[in-house]
Amino acid sequence: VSTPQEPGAELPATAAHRLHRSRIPLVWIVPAVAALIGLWLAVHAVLAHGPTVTVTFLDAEGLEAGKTRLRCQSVEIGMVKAITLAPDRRTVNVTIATSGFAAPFFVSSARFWIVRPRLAATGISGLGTLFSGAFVAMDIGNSKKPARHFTGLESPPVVASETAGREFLLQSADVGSLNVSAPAYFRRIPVGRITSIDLNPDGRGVTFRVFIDAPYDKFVTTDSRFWHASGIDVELNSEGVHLQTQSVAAILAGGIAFESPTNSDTAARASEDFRFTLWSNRFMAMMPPDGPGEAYVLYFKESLRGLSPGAVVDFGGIPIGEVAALNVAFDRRVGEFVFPVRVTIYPARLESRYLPGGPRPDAESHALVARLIARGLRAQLRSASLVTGQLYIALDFFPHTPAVAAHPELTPMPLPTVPGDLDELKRSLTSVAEKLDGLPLEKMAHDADAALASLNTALGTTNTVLGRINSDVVPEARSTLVQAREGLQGALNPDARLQSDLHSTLTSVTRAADSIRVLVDYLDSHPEALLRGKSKDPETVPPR
Amino acid sequence: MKPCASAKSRGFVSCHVCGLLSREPSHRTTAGAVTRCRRCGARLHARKPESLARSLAFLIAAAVFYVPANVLPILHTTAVGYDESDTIFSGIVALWSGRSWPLAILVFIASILVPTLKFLVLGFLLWSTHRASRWALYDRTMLYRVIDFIGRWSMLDVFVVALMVTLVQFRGLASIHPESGALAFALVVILMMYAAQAFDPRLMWDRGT
Repeated sequence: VSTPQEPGAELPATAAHRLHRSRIPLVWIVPAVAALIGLWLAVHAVLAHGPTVTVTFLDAEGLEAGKTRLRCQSVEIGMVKAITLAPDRRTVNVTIATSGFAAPFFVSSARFWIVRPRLAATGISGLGTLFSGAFVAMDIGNSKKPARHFTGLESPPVVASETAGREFLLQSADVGSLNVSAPAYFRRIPVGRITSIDLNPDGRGVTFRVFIDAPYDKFVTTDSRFWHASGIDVELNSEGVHLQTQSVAAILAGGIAFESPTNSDTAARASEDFRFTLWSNRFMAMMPPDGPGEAYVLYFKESLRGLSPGAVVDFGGIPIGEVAALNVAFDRRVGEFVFPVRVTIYPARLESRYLPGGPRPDAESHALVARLIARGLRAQLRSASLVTGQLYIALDFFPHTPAVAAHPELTPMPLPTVPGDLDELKRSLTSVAEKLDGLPLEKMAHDADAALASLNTALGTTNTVLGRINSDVVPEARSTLVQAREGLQGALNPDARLQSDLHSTLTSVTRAADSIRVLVDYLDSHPEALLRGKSKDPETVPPR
Repeated sequence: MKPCASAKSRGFVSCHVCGLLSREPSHRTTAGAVTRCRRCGARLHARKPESLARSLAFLIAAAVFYVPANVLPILHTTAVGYDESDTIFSGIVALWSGRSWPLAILVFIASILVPTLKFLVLGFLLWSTHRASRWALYDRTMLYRVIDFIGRWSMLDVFVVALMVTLVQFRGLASIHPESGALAFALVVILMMYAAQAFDPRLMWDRGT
């Protein structure tokens, strides 16, 4: 290789090819595509985010920013982003970032609550949150007005807003053993729930709101009766023990039941928010309406122990009223204590007493009662049960009692009384005791004492006799027994004469028996021998 | 810096494929044409063609994906009572608060520090080369070597995600799914590598000397 003049002069020249190149290099497609993808991601991210809403809770137990989800009917629509104390220092503001598609759901009727595991007598709910942690649930409602700030419920709503059915109002004196979400039963089918319990504004009584699911809500008519079906309703009164229950859940959690009277097919369906009375039990609820009561007062002279307000006033077995109040009063004219008992009598329960056309005025019914008193109508305390000592008041006719003056002009009108059967029982017991008292018990005891003394003497004599038997008779008897044994021993000796005689006699008897057997055998085969005598043929003689 | 003679300045060009040294014709005659190796026919170029523009294009594309890579979750973990998406940064925070400090530092370096530094360094190199800066040419070359070498380690995160997704699939108990952030992150790393490859460090010296 020669030394080149110019370095590389011997190297080959490159081959040149014409090429059309665009002015913008192709590589710029890469950032363009990247920008497009980035733009798409950005738009997607913006669209995926819905509004940020704030829900106020009293307590944020179980919530965790960045982890707790917001769910609507178990569909995830958001995530808790921040949990802060509200400026009022009593509540907690939970900020929730929501999904883009959920934006139209955040309306003013939306309700929020925290789902945690809940154990109630009617069941267990939110068990899944034991593992996954609590979540915020929402219920959208019917409103169209958008909202961004909400106040959360402290417990799950009893009825989801899309549930079909109607709500009714129940009026009661107290809550009893009911609570919110307690079931409502119709013919023992759970058909609804109590949604709220509110004290009346005046503090007298309680108003329940009860939601009855469709289609059962059509069975609520204007004359339907609602009653407490809570727990085991044990009622002890003069009529015995009443025990009423619904289901086990109702026993544990309480509940209400309703029914329409069977003769009310024509009653109209109750409108929403119709107001019913909540009775304490089915018996009370299903009783026909009593109408207005009339007050009467009964003056008893005997103890009222066992009689309580609410006890039955009975007429011929029909409860026509109840005891309203018990009292004690001092009658100055007579100078003794009396026990006035105010009773309420429902004349509507005595159908025949009233003509159609509404109740009569008081004066008229008082006059009627006065006539009945003249015929012997009296009130009497009677024992309903000797075991429990419950009393009730019976109205009855006692024609042979002395006549008393009626006072129809007084209100409440007094009804005359006669001593109760318990009182009479007591009186006869007292007379028995008095008779017992009259018996000469001391003299009887004295006589008995003397008799016992003579009995004692007799026993002493007997004792002496027995002693004599012991000393005189017993040795005599003993020697006799010894002699008898010796005699018997002599007779049983094998060499004794009695023994050998007995042996020879028994041998002769055996021989005689043999002969008789031969004879019988012969006669068996030759019965004619009885007539003809024994045959000479030696062959016929059976072998000996 | 003392000026050095280069093959290019003497009109030579070597084939990248077969290594044949050729004479390069003058720029005037080769304008708008490609030159090829006489021996193997491979395309010849003294410097990577349009190096700065290509590198810049890849760098811009990487920058575009850099945002979703860090904002979007890369992993979705489902376990019993646990359902979560993690971004790169929240993963590091979780590791750090879980007292796995060495691991947290490692992931932080590989997933956040290195791509960010590479992005900044490459941008600086492009800018300074475009300006024909003569400042610290030797150090800039060193920088280029470092980012070219270290950049691939950013794929660590992508491999971790890929491994986790394939390994942790206990149906019903625990499972891990990749999310779009992982794809964006992988694209960032890959585009960044392309950008580094497209950059020709000799250009610094060409213009700087």
